[in-house]
Amino acid sequence: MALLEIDNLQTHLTTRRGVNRAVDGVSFTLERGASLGVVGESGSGKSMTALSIMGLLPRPHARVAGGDIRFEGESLLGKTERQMRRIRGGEIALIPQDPMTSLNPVFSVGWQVGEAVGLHQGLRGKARLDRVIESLRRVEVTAPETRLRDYPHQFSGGMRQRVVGAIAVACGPKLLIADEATTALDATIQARYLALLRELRRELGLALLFITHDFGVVARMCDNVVVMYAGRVVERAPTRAIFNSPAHPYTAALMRSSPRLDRRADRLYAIPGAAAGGFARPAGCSFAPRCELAQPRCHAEKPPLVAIGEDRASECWRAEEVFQSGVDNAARVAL
Amino acid sequence: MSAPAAPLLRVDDLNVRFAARRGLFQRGGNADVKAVDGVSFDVMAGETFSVVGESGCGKTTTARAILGVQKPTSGAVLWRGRDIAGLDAAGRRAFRAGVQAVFQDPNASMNPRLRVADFIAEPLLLNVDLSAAERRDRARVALEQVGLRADDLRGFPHEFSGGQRQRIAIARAIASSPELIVLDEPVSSLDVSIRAQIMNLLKALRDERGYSYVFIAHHLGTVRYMSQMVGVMYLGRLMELAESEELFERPSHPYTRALFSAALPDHPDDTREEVLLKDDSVAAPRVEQGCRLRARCPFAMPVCGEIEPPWKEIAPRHFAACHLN
Repeated sequence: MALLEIDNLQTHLTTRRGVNRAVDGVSFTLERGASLGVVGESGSGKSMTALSIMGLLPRPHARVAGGDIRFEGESLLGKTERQMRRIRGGEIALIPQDPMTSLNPVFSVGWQVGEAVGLHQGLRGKARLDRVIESLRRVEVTAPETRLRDYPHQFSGGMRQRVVGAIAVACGPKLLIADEATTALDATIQARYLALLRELRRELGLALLFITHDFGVVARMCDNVVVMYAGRVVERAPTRAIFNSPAHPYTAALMRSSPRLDRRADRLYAIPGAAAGGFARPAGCSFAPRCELAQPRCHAEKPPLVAIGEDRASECWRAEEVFQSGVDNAARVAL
Repeated sequence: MSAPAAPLLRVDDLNVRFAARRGLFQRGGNADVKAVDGVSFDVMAGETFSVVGESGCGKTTTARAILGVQKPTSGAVLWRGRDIAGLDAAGRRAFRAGVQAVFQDPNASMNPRLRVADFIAEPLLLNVDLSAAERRDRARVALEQVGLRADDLRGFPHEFSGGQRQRIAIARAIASSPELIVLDEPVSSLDVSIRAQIMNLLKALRDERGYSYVFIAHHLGTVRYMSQMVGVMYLGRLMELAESEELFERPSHPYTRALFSAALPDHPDDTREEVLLKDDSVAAPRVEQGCRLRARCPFAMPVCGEIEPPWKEIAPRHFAACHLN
């Protein structure tokens, strides 16, 4: 049984302009101890997917309108708020992009880590203090015995994000969701934070769900990846495989439009236009208006989910061709 | 330098200090923060000069000094050989028309109640010879050059997407036919699929119109794609400076190498030299002597604590400040 199963999830936002289908039929699974990247741009539905899992959708505008989210085989959608509070933090923890949204400026850092272990594990007094120090030490906060008396503003951005990490792992969750957790950090600080998360995953057997816009994070951190566009998963694959030969035109275009550090491109491919929001419901593929491979059929009919080998799939009428051209390219480069 | 041509812009031993007040009951007097500490470089006509570094390195303060909105504590910014602090009224007008800027967040830099036409034409008000009709005409031409339509002139900022707004900001920058545009993280707030559009637009404008760019960025792939010259800053000081390809192929300074090694990989199988800096909490922001990287540097030697490393040309047009050289 997979740790987390998302099954045809539909999350709708009700706005003055009508219903925005922010998440429109998303399915994926995450095994125990595995690491999955969810890649997408703004409006792709990646963060709404994360909030749906956590049961933290902004109410009353957003609601899960269909599908299921199962954690260790049990649906999370039928849970009461009380039950969800036990699961959040205890079983599933979240690290958001901006640590100050989850840290309280008027309580010391030690108090805030202590609150988490007190609530979820009932630790008191010395046992609680020891656990706080241990948690801070595990995320490499230097001199945790003294720093636990400091307040969030006395920490740098990278250190604050570590404190959030300490709160997240203090109660021994099975799943850690990182929603653009390192996007705001400087490069050298980001590198250390990602190394720390890898370490935590190995030590604690955590499963990681990385919500990101950056394929570089996926390359460094994830075994598998799903690519989202306009509320749908357009491609799923093992990480190395998707880098070697993407099977969806959107994935391929994103990779071609990102400038690389290891060689200078003369000219980058630029994806034309901008992503459509979740209000429009095109008859065909959502990416078709921006796709250089689009044919009349792509605009008229929803593409099927095409399996590529055993462990990959791409939602595209021309998936096999796209995949094959990537393979051919890789072969040419290798020669 | 081998190029005999005079630089369009020269940053000459620029120092910017900010007074840092200690708390009421703290001892030790007030210490200044050296946001920019003795930075010098030239920008040639038609060239993109990039400044890279992490937050707090002084790259944005340097950009603000170039734009004339941050007064240097000492040193100077020279525009066509003249100190911009000493310009007369006419000289200042010419400088302001000749140097424009595009910032990271187009939402923050646009007035939500100004129509696109007025936003783009605003810098043209400096040119008193232009009639309202001429200003409007120039705004239309600029807007078409960045790939938007003349109809869009009547729109308000909220009617446009983030990428379109950044195009509008670029249109404003080019409307007064500048020679130099300061680009402060112009693509980092945009979606990945939009970034390439904007970078290609900026490159095309540079090639067609001969603009120079001072490009402030932290994403190294973007810098490599855009630049001819690159300077690497750390805690207010230039650590290394070289032609772009030279720097990316043969980085020399430990800080540059650490920065490159920290960049996210282009592929899961990427193997890079691993240069890890020690924790940033040990960094002393106010270094009185020696190299400011020494506490974090994996190669630090005793001399690094005593003498500030000199600025040396370690290869043709490749400079670094490190005792290892």
